[in-house]
Amino acid sequence: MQERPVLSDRQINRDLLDFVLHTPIWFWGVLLLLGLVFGAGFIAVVYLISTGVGVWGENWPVMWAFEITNFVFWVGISHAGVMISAILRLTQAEWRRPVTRAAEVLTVFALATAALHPAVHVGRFWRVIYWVFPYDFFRGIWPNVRSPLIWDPSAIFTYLTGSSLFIYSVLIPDLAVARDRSTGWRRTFYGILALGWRGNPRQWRLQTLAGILLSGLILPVFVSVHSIVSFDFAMALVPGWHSTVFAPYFVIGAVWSGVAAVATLMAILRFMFKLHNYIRPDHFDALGRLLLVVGNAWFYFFLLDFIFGLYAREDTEVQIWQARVFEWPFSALFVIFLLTAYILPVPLLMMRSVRRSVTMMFLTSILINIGMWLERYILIVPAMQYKQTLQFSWSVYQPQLPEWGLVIGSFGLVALGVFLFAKVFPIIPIYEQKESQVFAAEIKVGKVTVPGVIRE
Amino acid sequence: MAVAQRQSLLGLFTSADAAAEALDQLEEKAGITPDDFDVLTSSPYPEGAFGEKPVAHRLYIFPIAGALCGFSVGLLLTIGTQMAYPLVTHGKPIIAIPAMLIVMYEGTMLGAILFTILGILFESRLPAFGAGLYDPRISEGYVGVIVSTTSDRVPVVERVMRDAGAADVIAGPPRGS
Amino acid sequence: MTLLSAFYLMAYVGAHTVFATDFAMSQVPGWHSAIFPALHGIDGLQAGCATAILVMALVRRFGRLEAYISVDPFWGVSKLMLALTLLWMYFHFAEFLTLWYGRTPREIAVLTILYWGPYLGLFIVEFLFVWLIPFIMLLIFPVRRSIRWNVVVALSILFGLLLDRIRLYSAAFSVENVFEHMLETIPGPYVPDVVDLMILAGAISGAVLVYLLAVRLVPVLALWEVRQALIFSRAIPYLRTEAAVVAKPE
Repeated sequence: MQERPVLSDRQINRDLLDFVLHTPIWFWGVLLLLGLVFGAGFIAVVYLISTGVGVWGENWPVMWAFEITNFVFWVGISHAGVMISAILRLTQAEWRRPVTRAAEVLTVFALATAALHPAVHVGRFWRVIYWVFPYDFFRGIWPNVRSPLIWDPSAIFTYLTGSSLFIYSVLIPDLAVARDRSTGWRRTFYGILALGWRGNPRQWRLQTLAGILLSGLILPVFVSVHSIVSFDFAMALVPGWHSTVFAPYFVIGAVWSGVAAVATLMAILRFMFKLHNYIRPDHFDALGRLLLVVGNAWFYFFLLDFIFGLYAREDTEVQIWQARVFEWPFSALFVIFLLTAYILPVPLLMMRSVRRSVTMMFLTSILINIGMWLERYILIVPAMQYKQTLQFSWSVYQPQLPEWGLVIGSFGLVALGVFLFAKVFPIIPIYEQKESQVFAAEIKVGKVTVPGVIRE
Repeated sequence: MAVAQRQSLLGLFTSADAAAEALDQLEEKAGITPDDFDVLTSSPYPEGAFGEKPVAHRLYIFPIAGALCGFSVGLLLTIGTQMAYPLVTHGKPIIAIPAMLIVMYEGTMLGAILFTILGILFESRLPAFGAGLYDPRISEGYVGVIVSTTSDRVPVVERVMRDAGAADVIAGPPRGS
Repeated sequence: MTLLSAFYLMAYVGAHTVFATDFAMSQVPGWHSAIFPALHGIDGLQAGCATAILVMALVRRFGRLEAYISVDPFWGVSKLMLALTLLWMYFHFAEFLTLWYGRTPREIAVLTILYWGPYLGLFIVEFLFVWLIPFIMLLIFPVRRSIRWNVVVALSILFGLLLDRIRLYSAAFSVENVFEHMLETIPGPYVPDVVDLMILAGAISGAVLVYLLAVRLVPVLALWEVRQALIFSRAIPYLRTEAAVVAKPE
């Protein structure tokens, strides 16, 4: 059964604004911890920049490894937000209400973190900045828009701008609540951001329309972003990458890891902010069912890529799959990848008791993301390791400490971003909670009362 | 000729039922029409729940206009720049439509999203700092009914509101000024 | 029943995949593409939605079921159709771009035969009917809310998809020298003769005939579901307006 706690507006305000308006002592502890994790990555990057890209394990022919894996991973995570909030808004799924904003915020910070990776990857990034900004238009030199490396920033820029504005436009009513509940400089701060929102029927109607219209607009962008990331690989004639299925395969993989990340985040939020009335087992149940569908779809595309790669029996393609599956260390990684990305989580998610247990969902979703990180690594590195004909400079890739630092630091950065956002703004949409109270209805059939909702 | 001064009254009700009831009373006893009132709530209600006028808007024009603008910028950025600096890469034509479609597409979508956000703000009449009566209690669950009327009828309206169970009635300058 | 639908959906994807794999596994130019099964899955769903709209409209009109089939199911399916139209473009573009960007002679030959070679005319017509017309029409809200316009969109999609099939299959199959390592000579277009057209007409009418016979035997609407809807969704007065409530039993 669906649980439906009845909450007054006053209590919703108090619960959801508690962390925004008051600072508990553990806030500083968590901040310090996340700061240290992020700091590790920061030091790694400073060391890289001061010394040079040689501190990384990359060498011919593997010039893309941990950084691009991490980049793809974070762009993938960023797909959760919009996927969840847009699709669920459009289908008017009732369980979206507590999930949407956390997912969108995860999108923005994951995407921004991902966007940092190419800059770090070039090593001396100030040189790139000097190439790119201010761009030398006056000499008539223009970027090559036919290159996936230009498509990428254009897609990420659109997606980042779009989802930030999306978050803001659905945050306005909640900012008004924060304005009404706070005093001093905070009141001024929220007051300015709330733009004088009062909540008349016109504003609410537009707010509802905004949710639907922006969802519809941002969904096609979301699909394009990860497709374009996949084009970075698929457009190249590298065997193992040049596959027509790469775009949808990447997108569905992104959704698989992204929705899992949202489940992780919801579990952490529930634990951290004691939101037992708002993030309930039935929300995890719904997320679990969604994950089940997405996971199977992802596996389907994985099989397409795998089978079609092998079936033509082109030597290079077969050799790359051989390296991915049978050669150390990829063989071990491949086993872990298959176990964590599909074989373990999907049967687990089939069990209702797992889907309804917050701890189990937390662990399962982490498993999925371990698997999906490895998936990108296995897709990328062995294909680069392939020895081309007449290639004499060839080495095996070995990740070095600064690269591990970068990976760990990126997790710290995203976590820090989401955590600070939750400190400044309500992370669970306040007005959506109130709306769900307003729109809840019941239908009496004989002796039972069936819970229902009013169609928007 | 003395022009009757217009004034606004904000009545706060503890429930939506009470507010709707009060609006009925206002219509019956004080002749208040849907043109004269506005309802402030802390969450969306089904359309027309308070008998208010349906909201007229032109939001759908904004994404279309934005998409057109964005597409034009995308076109300029791709075809324009490649013609300005023709450099053949990988045997592709200078004006390589399939490859350029992607940047045009992103431009189109960015334009549509930006204009939609502007449209939402414009159609919600935001920003509107300090426009009209408001009370922080509304975001605590009270339903506010704002009635705009002539100053000579303020006592009537206030009495009807209080009779209908208003927790508080606040008087202020007319709506929208 | 939920469980059964889940398996049904998986069976649907499986069937389409296996069917498309029949083609894709053969190393025929234009077929041997990893995205081919997924493309077929999407096309199949699109055709399914279009057929559903068509059948609903016909049954509603000639079965006098105006009271039972409202505009809502049309609206719902057309939203799905809009999404599928976008996906059609997406899958085709992803395939096209990967081949186009690769630019190996083999890839260019495949694109030539499928897109701008002998089948250019067919491609243009198909593109109009399967994508451009439905996409623009479905973007317009009143079209999605109207039964008549939905039928027009559905017809356009079905016609376009039929041409799409013809282009994909007959193009690839008209390769003359199967011993070529790659497509070196581009064959001309395949022109259907009377027998082809008769087979096509026969297949379509056969399907319609079987359907018509089936609805003679079983009720065309699920009676108990119609009754369930009467219980589980109703309009209730809400303050000064009316609201539709949908019950969500577990």
